[in-house]
Amino acid sequence: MGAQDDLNVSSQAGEGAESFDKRLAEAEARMRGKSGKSDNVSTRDSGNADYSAFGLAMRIGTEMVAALVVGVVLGYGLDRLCGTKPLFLILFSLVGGAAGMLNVWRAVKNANV
Amino acid sequence: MAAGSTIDALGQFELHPVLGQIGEALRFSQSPAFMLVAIVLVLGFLYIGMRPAAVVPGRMQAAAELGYDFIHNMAVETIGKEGTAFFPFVFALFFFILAGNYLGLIPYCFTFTSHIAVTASLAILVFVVSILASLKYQGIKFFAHFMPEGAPVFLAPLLIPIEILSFLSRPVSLSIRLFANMMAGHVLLEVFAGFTLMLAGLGAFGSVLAVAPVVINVALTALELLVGVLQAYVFAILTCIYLREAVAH
Repeated sequence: MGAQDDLNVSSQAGEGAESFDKRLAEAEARMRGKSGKSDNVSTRDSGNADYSAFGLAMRIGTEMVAALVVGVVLGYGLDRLCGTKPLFLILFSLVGGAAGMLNVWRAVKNANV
Repeated sequence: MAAGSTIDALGQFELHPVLGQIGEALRFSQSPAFMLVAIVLVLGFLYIGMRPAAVVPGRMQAAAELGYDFIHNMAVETIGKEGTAFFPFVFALFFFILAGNYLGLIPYCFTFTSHIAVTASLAILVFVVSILASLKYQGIKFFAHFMPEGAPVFLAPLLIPIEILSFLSRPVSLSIRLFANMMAGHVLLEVFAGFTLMLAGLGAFGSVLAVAPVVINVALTALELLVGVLQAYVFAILTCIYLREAVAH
């Protein structure tokens, strides 16, 4: 665990809180740079990419259905509450379908598959 | 369990009290029992793995460190600088679900993630945490997100309900995905195991044919191993994505 080693070394020599904060920020920036770099590489070539592609495929179907389910349940509930039998059910089913499409669009928008 | 010519694929999900009289009095079923087992397994794995605290890690320590690093990177990369604050939450979720999914693959064990009550509770927990984080980091500006920027004002009556429904569908899709995947996998395993019994009851020729469902079940078990870790991963990464939107200014 490189992070702890780095931090321990720098904290041993610490005198003032100020200089410690500065060195901590530097160490964190260094760590972020390191981990960011190495992970970008791994997303591109190995397992991580498979995971996110397969995971995305599993996401999309439920994303669409879930919004529709929420719409239908909300519409039905509002109808029960207000006694306007099919009005809200119809409205919220349509809105729910649209929200499902929006969910899918948001899910695949940033995917580079 | 499958008996004779019928397949009772859903019987495996029924809850029964365990631990005899005490369990019956407390309404303590397999589900919370296996949750406790999962928690003990995860904590034991981390404790035993990290006990040597060696500079050059052994197998267990390497596995524990890999798990830690994997979730830590995921949380920090997805959520950003604030990710470290949510890392323990995501870590606990991931390993709890992973342990639950994998425990279910062991014969005579119960898959608590195959119950929507459990997955919905986890999803609602994530939902509430993300709302609280939104309110903490963005304050009242959080509600401005329900109106997409740059959209014409006269479309607001249409767009705002869509955005709100899209937001409300998050816990639903989170919970249904995990529950449906785990339940479907276990139903499939049970159905094919039932085919084996039914074919074996048909005599010598049937016994030969009965090998086919066993082969399929072996393949399905491999698939379930993949699905188990994948669903835990998807749950965790979506938690991170929701939290990123919560902490984004």
